[in-house]
Amino acid sequence: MIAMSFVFLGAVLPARSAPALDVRGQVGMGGWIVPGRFVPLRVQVGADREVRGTLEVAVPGPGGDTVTHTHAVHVTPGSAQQITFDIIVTDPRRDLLLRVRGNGGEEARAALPVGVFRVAEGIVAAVTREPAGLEFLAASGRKRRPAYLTGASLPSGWQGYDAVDLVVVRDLDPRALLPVQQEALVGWVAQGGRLLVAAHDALPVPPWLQVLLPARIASPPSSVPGVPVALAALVPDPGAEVVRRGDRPLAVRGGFGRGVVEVWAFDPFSPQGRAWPGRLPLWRSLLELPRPTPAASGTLADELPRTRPLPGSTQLVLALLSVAYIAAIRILLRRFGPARGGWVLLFAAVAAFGVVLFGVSAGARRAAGSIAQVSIIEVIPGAQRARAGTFVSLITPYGGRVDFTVPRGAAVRPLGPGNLRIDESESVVTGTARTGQGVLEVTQIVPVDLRAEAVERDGTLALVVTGRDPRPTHALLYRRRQIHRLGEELHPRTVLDPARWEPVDRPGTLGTDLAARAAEWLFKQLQAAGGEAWLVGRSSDERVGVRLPDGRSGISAQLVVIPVRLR
Amino acid sequence: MIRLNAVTRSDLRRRLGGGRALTMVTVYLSVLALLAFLSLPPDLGRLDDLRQEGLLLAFLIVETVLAAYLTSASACGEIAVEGEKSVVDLAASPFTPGAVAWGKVLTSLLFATLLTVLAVPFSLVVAGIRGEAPSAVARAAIVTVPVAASLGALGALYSAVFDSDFTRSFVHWLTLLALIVGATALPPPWDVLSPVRMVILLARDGLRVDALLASALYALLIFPVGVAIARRIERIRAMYQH
Repeated sequence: MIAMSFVFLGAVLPARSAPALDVRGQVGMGGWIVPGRFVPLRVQVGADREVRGTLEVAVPGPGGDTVTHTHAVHVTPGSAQQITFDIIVTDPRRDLLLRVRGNGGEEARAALPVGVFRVAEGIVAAVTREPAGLEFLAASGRKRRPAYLTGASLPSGWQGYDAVDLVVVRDLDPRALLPVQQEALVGWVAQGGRLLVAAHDALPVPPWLQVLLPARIASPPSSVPGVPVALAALVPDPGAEVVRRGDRPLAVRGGFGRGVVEVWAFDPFSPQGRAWPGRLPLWRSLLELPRPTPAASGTLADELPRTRPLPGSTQLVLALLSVAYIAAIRILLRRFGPARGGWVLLFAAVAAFGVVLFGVSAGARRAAGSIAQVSIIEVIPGAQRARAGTFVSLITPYGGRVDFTVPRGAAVRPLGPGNLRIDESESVVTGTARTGQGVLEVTQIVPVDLRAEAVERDGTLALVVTGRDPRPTHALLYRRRQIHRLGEELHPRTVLDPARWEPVDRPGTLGTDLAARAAEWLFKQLQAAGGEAWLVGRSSDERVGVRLPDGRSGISAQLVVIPVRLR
Repeated sequence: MIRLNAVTRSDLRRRLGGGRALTMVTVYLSVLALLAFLSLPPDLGRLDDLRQEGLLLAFLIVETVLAAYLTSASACGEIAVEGEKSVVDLAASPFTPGAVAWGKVLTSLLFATLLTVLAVPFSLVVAGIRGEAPSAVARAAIVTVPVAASLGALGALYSAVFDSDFTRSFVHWLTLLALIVGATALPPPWDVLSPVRMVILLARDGLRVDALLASALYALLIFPVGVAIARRIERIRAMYQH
């Protein structure tokens, strides 16, 4: 959701014939979109005069609702500003609407058609100067489409890769990539993305990319007898999976976080590589890998409260004021009703009670609007990062809107009906829920340094937690529908008592608050993980979740989930 | 300074100071207070997904119907206010037929205005909690006052025309049902004659010309009714003189 904005100071607009303000957009990864997934939208605003205002992008959502992304624009005469949004297109038949609003109202608008012909089931993004080599995708049976990109056009937020099945890096100018673009790619791979690096003369592997690779490219590709393509010398890391051709490593596969990273010793985009049938099994094995699913999914939002009644004190105040009003009217009518000028007193009382009652009820309405949120911070082993998924319920029992701020770089995805307005400049989201309630998912990648291991020594099993970040509280160890409570504070080393395991299915085992309900939901999800053990605890990470304008987080709960490695 | 019609002055003194009249106003306000309180639970708002003003409209409709009933029932004698003289009683008084007729009409108008004004704080509670502008309450009053006043004038006419309590009550209720229920069932654009429809249009859609015209029609109805009351008084007097 992060919006990358930069000004093309050198851009020249046609002098007199051009319109005063020009708005253009380009949607999709290489022009392709996957409905329901984030895709980049690049908008260029050019003007031959100074323009200050707001760019609005209205994206039609399901059920007639609209998600409006906004960003501040400031264009100096003769220049253009480019702004990149990450948007979700759900109905490609409906146009996107681009609008520039200035102080004097709407200054420009343009409709941006998407079209069903741009729809794909998945995208293979290749960073290459050679825009050929992925033609085989057309014959793969699935509607997977190739996108040939340059390094500079890579997304600046990890969610920009949401629609991508595989990123292939062949030609990469390290200077062309901004740090945010590097972090976006690394963050996406850590969450479960698939990255292929093809050895090529023009690929000096930069240090930030080398960290991800399961092998070192020791030499550029050269001819090898008996092999139709030139092969580079790969030096695999210990534990990496290696596919060999003769005694030469052809492909080396490893992992980074929950993702898969592969290095090929040959260039599949070269004329020889494109013609070599031996490349197809390698492509297939990479593309057919299942994508890992995060522990937190949309159904967690069902655990969130959707409404709340007025506080009893407010109801009591309204009731007492009503009784006082009726009594006052009775007294005034009896004493002053028949008297000359009694009407004035009567109207004064009506006006006074009217103002007070309206003020109290309008204030109560405003106070009733809030949010409820639950965050699952899923530590990604080996990546020093965590994927934090926050499910937010907009509580608007009497209608109206709720404003809240989201962390910078977080992806905001509506999960139900309701209109959303996302200010990308200020990271402020305004939600209006049509049915008095709306649900959305806010996902972010945060650096987290926490590891958990179960260590067996002398017949005793102990849980060892290491890392710089604060350890979770009220932690428990989960394995196969059983939990082992670890106390309110989690110590670096806790001996696990076999007698203290208890079934999690017992009603009320964890309590009834939001965090307990979220934990029970989480255990059902983790059940699918089979015999793996997980450390689950409560957290209060300030970086995670959304905030109301006054800094409050509403009704909130945070859980940290750490996979436990058995040693 | 405006000199108030003597009949109106006397009627208002009874309606504002009398014990039964006070009870009537108290019951009216208590019903509205209860309705306002019942609009507090948030789940009620979901009866109308798109528009939160559904509850405010319901409140304003009930308020209009109650004000119309109380004004007309007081005028036709269905709710007897102690000390208040009916049109027939006043026919034997030295007041001119016109003074009696316009006095009764003015009483209805002022009583309808009073009931509408007294309901404002509770209307504002509903508007405030549902996020509606107070102007919607003011627009609804454009309907409530003329409708209640014209029905009050009709009530005064019925009290002069029908001697039997049963016949008077029957015709009174028939009129109420015809205007509030029957007119609502009319096909467009005639359904705008229904006070219910008028309240909805004015409170929800702003100052619509058709609803304003219908409201003006109710306001104008007061004049022929006043003339009819005066004629009836003349006839009663002529009857007694012979």
